[in-house]
Amino acid sequence: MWFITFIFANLIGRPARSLLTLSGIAIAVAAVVSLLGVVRGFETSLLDLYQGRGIDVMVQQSGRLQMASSVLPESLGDKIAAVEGVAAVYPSLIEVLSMLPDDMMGVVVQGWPAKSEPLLRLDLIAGGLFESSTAREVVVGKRLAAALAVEVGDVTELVQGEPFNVVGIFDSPNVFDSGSMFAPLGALQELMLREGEVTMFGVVGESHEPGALRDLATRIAAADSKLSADVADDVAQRSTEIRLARSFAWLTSMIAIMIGSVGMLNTMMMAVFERTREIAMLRALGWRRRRVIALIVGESTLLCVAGAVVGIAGAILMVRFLSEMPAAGRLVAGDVAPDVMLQGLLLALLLGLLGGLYPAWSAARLAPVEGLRHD
Amino acid sequence: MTEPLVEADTVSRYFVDGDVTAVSDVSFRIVAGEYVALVGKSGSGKSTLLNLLGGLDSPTGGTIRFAGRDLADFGDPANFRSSQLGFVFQSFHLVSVLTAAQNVQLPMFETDLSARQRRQRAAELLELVGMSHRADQRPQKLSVGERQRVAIARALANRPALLLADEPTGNLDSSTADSIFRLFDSLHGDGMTLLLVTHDKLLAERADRVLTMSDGRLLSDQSR
Ligand SMILES: Nc1ncnc2c1ncn2[C@@H]1O[C@H](COP(=O)(O)OP(=O)(O)OP(=O)(O)O)[C@@H](O)[C@H]1O
Ligand SMILES: [Mg+2]
Repeated sequence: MWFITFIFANLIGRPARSLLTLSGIAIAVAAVVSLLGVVRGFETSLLDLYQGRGIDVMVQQSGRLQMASSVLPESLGDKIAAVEGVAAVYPSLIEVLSMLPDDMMGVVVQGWPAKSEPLLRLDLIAGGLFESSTAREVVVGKRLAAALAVEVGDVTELVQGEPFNVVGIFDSPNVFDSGSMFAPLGALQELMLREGEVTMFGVVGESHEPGALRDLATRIAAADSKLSADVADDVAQRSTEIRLARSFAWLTSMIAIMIGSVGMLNTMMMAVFERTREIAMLRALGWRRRRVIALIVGESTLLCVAGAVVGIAGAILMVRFLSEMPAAGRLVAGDVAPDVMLQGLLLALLLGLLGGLYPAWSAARLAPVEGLRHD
Repeated sequence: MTEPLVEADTVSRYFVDGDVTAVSDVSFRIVAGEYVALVGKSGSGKSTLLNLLGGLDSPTGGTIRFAGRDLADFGDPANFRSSQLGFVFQSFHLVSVLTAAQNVQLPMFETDLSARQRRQRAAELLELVGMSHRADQRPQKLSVGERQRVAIARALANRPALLLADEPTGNLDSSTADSIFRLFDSLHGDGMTLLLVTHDKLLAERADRVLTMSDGRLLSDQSR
């Protein structure tokens, strides 16, 4: 018999309790992994929304908390282009339209001049890009195309009575992207009655090195008091949405961890108390304290690892299911990042150790004579 | 004179809880190969003395030496128990989730034996106590006499120098008890040193030597 066989036998010999504890741990781990997984997906989506676009520095109206409310005159583009270290400037108007029934998030429409860098980087799976900046044409993300039920050659109304031709469909691993569409800047400005106005300027630097980009952002901001400039990566990291989502995920995770460890502690304390005589007997047979500790901690750790495996599998299924749902699908990326799964596993190991160590220690400390008298 | 295997030198055990002196000034020696019975009325201190000899409890006075070495010098007496002692209890204390053969292997975790060697040794021991045919049964499926045989095989796992048993037949009917007696006899025949606590007159009569306790004191020490 291996030592692990004894550990297994103890867990299998008490199936109801082991299964209950295992499910408790699994639920805690599933909650933590799916929450952190969703937030992480959200975060990376937002991050490469900018990075994948080839935009180094984002220039917005100064003093605005959220980018959506920023308004700048398109004419400021020339001033920015004149700043030292700027390779290219692309003006962009971002609008959130209500195109789908019962959609609380709305559909993001980005207006960019034809042939600007972010457009050229799109991964087109059907059709092509618009050629003119004033044409009533759109390139639609795959998820959005599915939600709107449109294909290349179809017509979609951005606003009631305002038809646009769908000229291309693009794919993106990014849920935000894939749920959005691109329109020619001029056409969008005209549609929204915002001629000459933009939300922001996307700047490509001559150097892409982070230090150089920070300096560039400072110079751009200094060029006009209406401008505030940030390195694209920093914008994503600092975004209020991400910070909120992160804190909520951690808060909920903490609660899940607390519940999980109390459950584990309870189970292991019961397991030790119930087996007081057995543990005393093992000590009488010559088991050293550390072997008793190894037994109890081994049991709790094994339970937790099994719980973690079940929990992580559950989280993967849950996140996948959520990403398939029409209501949440445009917000949730379908995959849980491997390092989030690893976090879940480590968390479970921690639960196993914490929940097992104290009961193990009290079991090892028990005087064998006392234990043998215990009934 | 032969070097004693176990030596109790004016050993006392006082319990603050209840203010009782369960063992009072007890001295005796046991040499290797002896078959000793420890008898006395209930509450006379037999179990307490046995626990002290096994290092499960520490004396409040006096010294216990094992092969010349003071038990108090062992950091964790578990090391000493694992290599030198075998314990048999009145209520067997078998682990219910393990088979007979696995129960016998429990003490071997403290040795260098490989899993395969542990399995082999358990098979030999079960053979010795006549339990080979029930090796893969859980204790619940065994009769009480069979359980005690498994417990004895387990006590012998690490080839102890001394076998300590506290009322080993206390839970057995007389004919089952008799078969256990015969097992002890044969172990003694093979050279094992035995110290058995018992109420059982018949078992006591089989021993070479009978120690009688009364009120924590050693009343008599008779050899046959
Ligand atoms: N842990 C303890 N705390 C307090 N008193 C104890 C403890 N262990 C034993 N005693 C007392 O010590 C005395 C001797 O007990 P012990 O169990 O050694 O007797 P015994 O001879 O084995 O009796 P029995 O034949 O009933 O098993 C008793 O009065 C008992 O109440
Ligand atoms: Mg007793």
